[in-house]
Amino acid sequence: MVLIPMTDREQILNTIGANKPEEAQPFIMPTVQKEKGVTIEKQFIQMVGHVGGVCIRQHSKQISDMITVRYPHAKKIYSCTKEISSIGFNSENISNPIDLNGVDLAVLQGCFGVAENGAIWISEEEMMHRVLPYIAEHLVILLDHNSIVANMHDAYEQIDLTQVPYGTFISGPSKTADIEQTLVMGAQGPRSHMVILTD
Amino acid sequence: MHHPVAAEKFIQDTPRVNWHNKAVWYVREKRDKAAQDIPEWEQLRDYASAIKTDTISKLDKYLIEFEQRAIENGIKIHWAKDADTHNKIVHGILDTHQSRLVVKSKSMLTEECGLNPYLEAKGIEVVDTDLGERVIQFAKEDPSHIVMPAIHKKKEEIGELFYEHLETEKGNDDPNYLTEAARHHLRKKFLKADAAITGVNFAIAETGGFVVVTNEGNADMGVNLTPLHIASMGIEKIIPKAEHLGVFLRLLARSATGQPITTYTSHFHKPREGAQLHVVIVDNGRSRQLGQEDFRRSLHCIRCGACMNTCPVYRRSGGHSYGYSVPGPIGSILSPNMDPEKHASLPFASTLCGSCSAVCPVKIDVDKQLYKWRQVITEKGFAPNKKTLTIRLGKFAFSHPLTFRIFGSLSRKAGRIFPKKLLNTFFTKWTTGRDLPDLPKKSFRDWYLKNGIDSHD
Ligand code: SF4
Repeated sequence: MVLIPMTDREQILNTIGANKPEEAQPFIMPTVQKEKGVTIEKQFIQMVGHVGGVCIRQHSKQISDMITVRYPHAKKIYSCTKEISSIGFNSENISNPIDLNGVDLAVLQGCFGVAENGAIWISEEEMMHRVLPYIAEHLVILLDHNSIVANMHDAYEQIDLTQVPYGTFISGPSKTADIEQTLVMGAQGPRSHMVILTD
Repeated sequence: MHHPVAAEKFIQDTPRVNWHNKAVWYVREKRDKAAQDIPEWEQLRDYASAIKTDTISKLDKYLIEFEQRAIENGIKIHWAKDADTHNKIVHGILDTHQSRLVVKSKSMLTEECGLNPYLEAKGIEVVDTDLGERVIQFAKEDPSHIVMPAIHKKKEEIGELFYEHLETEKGNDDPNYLTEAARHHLRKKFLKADAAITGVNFAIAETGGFVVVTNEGNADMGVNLTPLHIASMGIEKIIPKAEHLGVFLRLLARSATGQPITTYTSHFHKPREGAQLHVVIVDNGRSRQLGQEDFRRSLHCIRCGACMNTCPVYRRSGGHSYGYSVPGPIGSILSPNMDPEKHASLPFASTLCGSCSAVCPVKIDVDKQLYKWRQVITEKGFAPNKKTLTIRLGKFAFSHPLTFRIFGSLSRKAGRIFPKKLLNTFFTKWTTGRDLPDLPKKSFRDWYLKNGIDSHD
């Protein structure tokens, strides 16, 4: 008889099996009480500011003009929204994500926002390219003002992760405080972060 | 490494110790403020603790569930029983893809495994892309904190390092300027890299995917630009369900830096089109820790760093004095499991004040475990000699009242006769950086016998 050596997988699972404590009760997630009297839209706007972004309310029709005014130097704009059209290059020509380097502004549609931390959920579908929200110099996210939830518990009720190959919560611009705790925006990704709440 | 000896170097520079202490305490204060903003904070800690208790009691089941779902999602799963196997697996994957330049985001597990030197020895360039990690990579040092790897570095020193490595202006130590320089440097690396390595913050059994959090966006930049993503995770990173993320993500960033959430919280479930996604599941002593009733709860840790920020010993001795990839209170209960002799001094590097347990978002009884490790280490005969001797002497004195009185009276006399400097040498490390209090003229016993219980003397 030949002894087949145990794989690492078997060894690990066997040791766990032998060493684990008595089975604990599975955790049943209770409903977490929400703070009363907080208007979530107001809290969301505040939190986006708190995490280093800007949040404004704008009519859909005026967004395009506003972007031109706010980002006068943006030569390359990559938009994944119907409100704004891309400028400066043909997005269909992007075959390698590194070609997105140099995008001045990315405009994305957010799925929903979270009031307690200003985060916005964006799934692969809204990004076109997974690297787009990170590689652009500046980021604008459009968000229906009706799609804001109170906290992260509500947030996960909105998402079915089995249906999202890749998705991310974004809360503010890329930042670091690695040099003597000084907060610097634009560490690696977008230097600024604007959320436009639409009607 | 012997903690008191290693710490001695750090505390020689008093202004620097004070600066470090203040910088780290500032983060602790931000954590307090963030926690206080959430009325249900304590409830969340209870939930987190209960989820982790359930998880580790069925860890094998959850790992198998994760593996199965992940494979269905198109993720390639590898298992590594120890650090060496982990490094070999990672190198093997890189080798198959002929990767020469790897961009890596922060992962304490790869630090624990010594992955960077391993890959570098095989001729692969590894670029740590977290700004703090890049700083210490330039400095050829280890991280001194799990969340803020370069917290021990002054901006002047970082300016000097960048002048050397990135050709920034000499003497310019403005954090904005330096960060901008690093941004340009790292962007070039991202665009040239042919593989990316990340850690894993949470792996979800139910959905077969995992979550990585960063503030800089460096993890996502790396993995979304390169054709190969390798994620290394410890077996304890598993959580059963997606809804549990709600609990942990509310706790993690608030505990770590006082932020309501990190800038980026990314969920990976399927590889990008045309790219590969590998997950290496690593044990490296964790399943052994699971078998120790007193210590298994250390596997609850979500690596927020709060216990370091609050620890009076960590703040004043610096992360490097611990000589282990995870420093501070949690590192001092994880490291003896790896090697109780080598890390014997770490459970003693604590005042047992309990502040670590009070801030821990997953309610690990850190201080109790430190205390228990002391007993295990002393029993094994690894305790620092001086400690064992003093404890024996103490035991003798406390159980013999007359000896105790004579010893007390003698030390009070000695306190008056000899200069403090000389006495301090008896207490060695404890009095480095602080002084003995003035000794009273008479003992409490003498005072009590004279004045009795009613005195207000
Ligand atoms: S032990 Fe607790 S406080 Fe310390 S790093 Fe782990 S989770 Fe955070």
